[in-house]
Amino acid sequence: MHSTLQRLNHISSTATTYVLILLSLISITSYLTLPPVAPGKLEIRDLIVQRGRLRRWGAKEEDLASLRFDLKTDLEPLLNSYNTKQLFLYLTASYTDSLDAQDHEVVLWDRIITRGDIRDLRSVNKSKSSKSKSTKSKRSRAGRGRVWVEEGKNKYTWKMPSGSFKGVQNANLTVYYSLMPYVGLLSSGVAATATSAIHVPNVA
Amino acid sequence: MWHLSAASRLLFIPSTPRGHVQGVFLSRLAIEPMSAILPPAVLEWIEGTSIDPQSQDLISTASQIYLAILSAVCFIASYIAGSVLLSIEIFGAGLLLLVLLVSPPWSFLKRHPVKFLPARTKS
Repeated sequence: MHSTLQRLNHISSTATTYVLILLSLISITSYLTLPPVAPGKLEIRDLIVQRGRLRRWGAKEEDLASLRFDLKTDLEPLLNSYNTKQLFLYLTASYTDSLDAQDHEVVLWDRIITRGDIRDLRSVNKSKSSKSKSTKSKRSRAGRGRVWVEEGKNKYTWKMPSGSFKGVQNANLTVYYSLMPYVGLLSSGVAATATSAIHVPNVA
Repeated sequence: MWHLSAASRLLFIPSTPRGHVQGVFLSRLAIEPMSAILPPAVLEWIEGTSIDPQSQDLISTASQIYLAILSAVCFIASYIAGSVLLSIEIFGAGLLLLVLLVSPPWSFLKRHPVKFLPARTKS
């Protein structure tokens, strides 16, 4: 402790310990105080299965399913909770293929919802915006946890490894969330459920 | 090369000469301490005209307590405000303050200098 360098060394090593303690306190507390989520509503408007090819004329024809859905769920308390950086929402379909007795689970749609009051050091011209503008944008960002998707389409192609949905009768559709914290454990859960399993039509 | 006296120069030259001049020079560069590389003014600021032992003790205990209180304050403030970034910012600012307060050899850290016995003279 007799020289400046030694003091700097001592303080920085002690500070590192305390930063780690602080961050672990934050992560534990935020994990214990996560608000509960009431699963929202997922309604399937339409499900069409048709033969088609994804690539050009060299490719084989296969069954392609296209989905239309309505999603309404309120994740506002979760998004504005202590240690949330962003939420990752994803819609999955899970079903069993009776032909080869395989369970499948595929992601059909997803969305990233970032926290409204997130401060990004990389953002430019933030201070230049006028006061009224910033309050307006704050207000518009306030409700981003209330997810309301109307007539959403599946973002990713829904198809089978075998090329046909012959063995599939019903599929369960669920919207899950993953919560990404600033520091700590990733947690996940169900954000919305469909009222019943959906019937997957067969192509003749 | 400011501080090196003739005797230490002799000491730093390896005892088994390499045979050619360049090798000796390079090995000297690797061995020489920082005191030989930095100018004396910078060295004095970094190493400090050492602060007294009482202040050293004070700094080591006070910095521990300060950091513990600081991290508790950070945690409570961030929990109330609901923002993790706030705690990091407060901690950073507090740490900067601590470093500025404690690391340079300020005069208030030299209030209790060690009093050495007077040098004995041959009677």
